[in-house]
Amino acid sequence: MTHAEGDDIPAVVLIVEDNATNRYILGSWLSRAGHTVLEAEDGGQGLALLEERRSSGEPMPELAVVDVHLPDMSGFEVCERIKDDPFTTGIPVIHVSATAIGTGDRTQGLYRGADAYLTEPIAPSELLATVTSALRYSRARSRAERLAQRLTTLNEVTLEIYAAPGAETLAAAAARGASALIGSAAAVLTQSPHADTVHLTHITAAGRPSSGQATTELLARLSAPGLGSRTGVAVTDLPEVGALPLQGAVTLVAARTKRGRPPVCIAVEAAAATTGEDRKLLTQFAQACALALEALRSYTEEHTLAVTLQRAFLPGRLPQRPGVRLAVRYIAATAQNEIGGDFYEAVETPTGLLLAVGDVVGHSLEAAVVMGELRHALRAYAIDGHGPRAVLERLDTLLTTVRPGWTATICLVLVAPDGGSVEIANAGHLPPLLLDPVGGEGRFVREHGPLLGLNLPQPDSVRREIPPGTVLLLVTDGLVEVRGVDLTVSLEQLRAAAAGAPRDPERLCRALLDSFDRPQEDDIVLFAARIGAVTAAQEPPGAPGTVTMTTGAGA
Amino acid sequence: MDRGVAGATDQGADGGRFTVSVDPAPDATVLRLAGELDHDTADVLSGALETVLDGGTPRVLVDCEGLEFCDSTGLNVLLRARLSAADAGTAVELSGLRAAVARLFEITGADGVFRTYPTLADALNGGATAGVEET
Repeated sequence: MTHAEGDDIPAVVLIVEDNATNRYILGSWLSRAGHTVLEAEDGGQGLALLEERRSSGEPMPELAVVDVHLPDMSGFEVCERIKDDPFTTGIPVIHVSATAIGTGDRTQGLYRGADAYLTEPIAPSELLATVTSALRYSRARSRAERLAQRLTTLNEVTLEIYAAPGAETLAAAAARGASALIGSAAAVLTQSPHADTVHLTHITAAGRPSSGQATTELLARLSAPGLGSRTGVAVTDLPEVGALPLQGAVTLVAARTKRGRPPVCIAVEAAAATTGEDRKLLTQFAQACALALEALRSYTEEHTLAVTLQRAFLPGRLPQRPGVRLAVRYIAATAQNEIGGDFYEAVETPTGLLLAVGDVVGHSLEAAVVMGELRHALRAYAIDGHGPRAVLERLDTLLTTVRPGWTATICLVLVAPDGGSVEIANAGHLPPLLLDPVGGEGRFVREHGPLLGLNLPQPDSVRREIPPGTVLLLVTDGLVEVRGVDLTVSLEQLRAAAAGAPRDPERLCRALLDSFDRPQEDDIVLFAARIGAVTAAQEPPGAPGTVTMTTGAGA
Repeated sequence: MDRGVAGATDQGADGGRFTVSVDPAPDATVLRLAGELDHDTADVLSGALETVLDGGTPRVLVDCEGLEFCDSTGLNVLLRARLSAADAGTAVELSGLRAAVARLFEITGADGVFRTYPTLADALNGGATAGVEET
């Protein structure tokens, strides 16, 4: 058998033996071999000594030599009590017996927990060899247990890294994780996926976190000697780094998973990370941190790309027409969500201005693509002079033919050229709201057909005469859909809020977003149109036909 | 006929925020929905429906008595299932819609394409004869 690292290091050994002469002889053999000897005269004293050491924090004996025949209890019982206590269970026990005894005693001793059994006459070399053998075994076991514990910790802190929803939580988890692995203070440098800011996250040995900003230069300077511009992981020993809140020399682990990306740097005090095992654990952990940050970065990039694409499918500006004042708000759901298929449109047609709001069901880039197709088709059919109902039926045919399985809700409102009436065709969308010119009332137009994509006929459109200055409001369900609240109730809230809000479309949108301010799960489109003559007194300042896009719940 | 939950398979997501239990029977497969059917949980239902339709059954009854919330994504799963079922000659019908869920079906006009029953018992009893169609 080969010797593992540390097998020859002397140990603290407890001798429990009532015979003073034997105690002296055993002790002197062990002392001469370099071990530190603690002596006890009986079982009670031996166990008390272990208890004392545990509470005082002094080094515990690594091994016990226990006489089988003790005045207060048998050596077997002492052994059992050592092995039964989780704190001392790892201490190997060697029984010694002064009298010649049969194999029954030896087997009983071994069965009851002892690691070896020696009977007199004992040769010093035999005792020392047995001690070395028992220590080799128990030290291997405690090394394995410690490693298992550290791997469990590695597993836990790695999970935390992958669960982090954003760059800052990831950095905090990385600092906590490195500190837990090494048992000392740790500092982590990460660069945000969407910015040039470098976070410096620090945690003290006592577990107190703090964070601040660092520079990209520092990140580059620290990772340059080991990792450079490579991908992979590099461990570097650096003298004290003034920019890092760590004491003395520093062990720095830099990791990068994709060429051209900034690395992740984890730094701990060199005094705390002295073994090869420490470095291996830190290497693995840094690799996980770099992978998790890369995933977060890719996600952010994809999301930004998807949102940009989705926005490209929407009109950049609305047509300006005398007598109709338009305002629209498009508010994306929280950045973590996928993108939606909400849309709006305003298009001049031979028979008047056609306004539309719709929602392709689903949250994905594909939903946004379907939305783009529908919107362009809608414009084409509308410009060709088809009425609202005919446009809806053509869109239904298009959807069922080209995109089977997809559904969409769309509400179309055709404003007569003289502004005196509107023609409404609604395919399963939230009902449009008509607001009286000055304060007061608002009415939903509830007539509707089925949503598009089911290959079903649409009912006739409905026509409403409207007094000049009437405001039309179209919304998508992100504004009114609330868990646990019947849509009838939230639509009524919308009606009440709109009825009491200013009639200028811009101010109306702002007021509604304020009154429905809450974390929203879905995209929101708010499309308002003021139709017909507006008196100078009603006219507020501000550019007509503005498109406002916002990300996040805030308006 | 035993229509208890014995032999039902539960599939949950989000710590059981939404569950589907499937109860196969010779003349109709019953899917009981419970919880919140939305963007995050719709896959559970589409998976269950796909399995049921692949297995071949003349009639799928989706019991919504335990369904507290349904958004447009959830509705779309049912609509897609209805389409693919129709190809195989299978009817997809609904029972026990709560008011809030029924409202979504009504506003979107989807109530017109599903035969609906007040309760699962009505659906099972009325299956052979004409069911009550809610509009």
